[in-house]
Amino acid sequence: MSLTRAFKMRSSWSPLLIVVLWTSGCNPMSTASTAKPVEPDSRAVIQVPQTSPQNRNPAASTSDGGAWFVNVAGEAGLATVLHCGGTEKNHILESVGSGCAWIDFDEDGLLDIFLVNAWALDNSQHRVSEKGRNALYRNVGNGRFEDVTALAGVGGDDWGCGVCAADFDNDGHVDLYVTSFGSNRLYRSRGNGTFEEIAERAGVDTPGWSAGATFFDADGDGWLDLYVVKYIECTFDDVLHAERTTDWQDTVKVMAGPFGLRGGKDRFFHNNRDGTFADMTDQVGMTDTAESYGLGVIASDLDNDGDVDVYVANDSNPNFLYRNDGHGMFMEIGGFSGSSVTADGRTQGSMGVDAADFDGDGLQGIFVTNFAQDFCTLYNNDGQLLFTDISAPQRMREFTYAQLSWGCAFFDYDLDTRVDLVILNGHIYPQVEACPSLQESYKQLPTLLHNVGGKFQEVSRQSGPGMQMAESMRGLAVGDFNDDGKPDLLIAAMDARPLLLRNDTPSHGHWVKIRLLNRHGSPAINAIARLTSGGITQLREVRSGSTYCSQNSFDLHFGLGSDSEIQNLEIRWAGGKTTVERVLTVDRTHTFREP
Amino acid sequence: MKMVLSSLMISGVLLLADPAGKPIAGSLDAAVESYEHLSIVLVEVRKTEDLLVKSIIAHHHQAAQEHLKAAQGGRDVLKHLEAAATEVTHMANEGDKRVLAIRQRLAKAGSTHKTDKETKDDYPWIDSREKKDVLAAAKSIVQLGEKATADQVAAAAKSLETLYQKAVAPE
Repeated sequence: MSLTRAFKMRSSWSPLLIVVLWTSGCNPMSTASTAKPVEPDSRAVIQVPQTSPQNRNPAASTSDGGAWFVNVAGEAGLATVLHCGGTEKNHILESVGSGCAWIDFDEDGLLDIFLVNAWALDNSQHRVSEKGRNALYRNVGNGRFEDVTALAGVGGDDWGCGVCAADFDNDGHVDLYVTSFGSNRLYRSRGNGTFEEIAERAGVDTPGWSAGATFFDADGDGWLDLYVVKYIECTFDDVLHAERTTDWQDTVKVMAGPFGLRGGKDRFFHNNRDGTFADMTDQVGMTDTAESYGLGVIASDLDNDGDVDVYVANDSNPNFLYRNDGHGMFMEIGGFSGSSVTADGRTQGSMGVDAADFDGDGLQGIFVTNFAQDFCTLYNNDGQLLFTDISAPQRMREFTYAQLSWGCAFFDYDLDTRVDLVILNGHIYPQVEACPSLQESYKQLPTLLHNVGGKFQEVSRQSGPGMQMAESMRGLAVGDFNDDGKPDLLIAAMDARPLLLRNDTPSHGHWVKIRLLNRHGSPAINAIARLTSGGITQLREVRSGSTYCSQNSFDLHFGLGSDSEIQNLEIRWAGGKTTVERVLTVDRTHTFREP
Repeated sequence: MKMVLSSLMISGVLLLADPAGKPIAGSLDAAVESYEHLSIVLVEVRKTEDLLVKSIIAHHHQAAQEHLKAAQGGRDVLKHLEAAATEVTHMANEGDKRVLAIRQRLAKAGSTHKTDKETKDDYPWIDSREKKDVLAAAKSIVQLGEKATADQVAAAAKSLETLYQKAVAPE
């Protein structure tokens, strides 16, 4: 049909359209100031034969995926239960869980923990049974934390979803942005270990249902802007009175959505440089006309051109890739970039996202977690913001198809110079437990993939008791809380206490952590470090917000294998300047400040 | 003309219908006759929707071809190739993001079309295999790059035309 013919039809649509149109007629209460012992963790541990790390061949530990993770949340003092709705999960809001963060809020050099909390519902009574509070735990050393939520002033009792961190006002102190079902919160650090909540004053409270968020400098003016992902438009009354109307696998009735519900519109906030932001979503080319169900987001210089691009993981919709033109104007190129759908053109139910140079080619690939009965997707970065779905050759279907996946992160757990991959899993339908024929479980085990020469191999069930703990997991943050050079995992689980998986992998490899600070003394967001040792160059980027609604440590961690010499460290700062450091001692943290 | 008449008939039907489903004033015969009119309209609405989506695909295809033609002129080659690729992406999705939002609302109302054999996705015209090919075409157009020759771009345009004709051909 010609275009002319096609549009001639308009004259006959009009009467019909007329007819169709005509007929469409919350106070911080946490008071603990010292670390208190927490009851031993009684969670189910799936019994998988484990060889203790001491009995392994240490020489093989950095090359054969000999990971060992142990949950130490109890002994660390992490007692907060993270709520998310009722036991039946009648509404999709009750399914998304919340995020977590590693930040050094008191600037003592040790990583502290921030947990986002939501509410507990009584599904049968259609009411709120408990409003959970966010929690801030200060790292007091020796693997222990103390709850300082009330003292710090961050114990908001909103229905929280996600968190990202950065110094938005350039005062040298890291601030927290917490997304919610309701108004979002911006906790501005006073620099003395306490915060003030200023979201409304700053213009970033943005009501609705927000999920992932990220601070990044879109236009290179030295001030961090903010992207907030929106999931679904609905009211709390919808949540309280929701009924399970969807047939899952023709077997059980489960919650409705997201398909069929109205998607939220993502927002972009430009930093006014005076402590406030302006909603410039439409002006910068980020209008979310698709009203996609956004959950995860990552801001990263994916084409190494010196500006920051944005990738959004959308549930049941094509993912977005916003290309930055270098001046803070964006063009959504997900479709032709090859990164919005699978290799066969299929939309997925995307949740979390991370990016890293997993194959050593100097370009960051993208990893996206997806719904159950579908695989997580690994996109190879072909350069110039073009991507190829390499999930099939990387055996992602084999590793991830059965699980419903959320938080994900690239990290080098065994210090062998290659970033590995951890994926958190957990179903959204508790009803699957009652139907053995479905062969699905609500609480699921995490997945650990070992990177061997750029190819991933699953090592989950040989990776210590921490990896055999079943929960319905959501938020994930990576950080080395005990400063032993091995990155640990903080996990937010549904209606449960968080998990803290200490990395006890018996590696004898070397490591280095690079702390990049901007001219104001705060984390240099989107600065990129390229470190060369043993002839291998690794790339890391400082980011605000990633994985699933969570915040990794800002310190850039590099495993060095057996090499104890760093040949070169090149740092490209967010403003475009490049500095080079040549002699670094290993097995310690180095701090560099933007010149 | 038939559609206009149908529209008028449905107006009458809707005026008669009681939102609560109670018996409406008048005879059963009148209700059945109204239902018959409604069925005509429903069928016509579906045909109209199919043609509307087809016209949207045609629009994006033509826009893509215009950009490819411009790219053959040798100026702003990459800009035109990317614009063409964007239009081709919209072809693959049977519309731009605004259309995706509309389709979500239709789905919520239970309005579906054909079901893809492989993916079980709903689609009016472009099935998953065709979509895969069209998306691959979009990426390959961009990959031609700034130094693409007129012949290369012309070949891409010809290939796209073939994909388009296949996509909108009656199944």
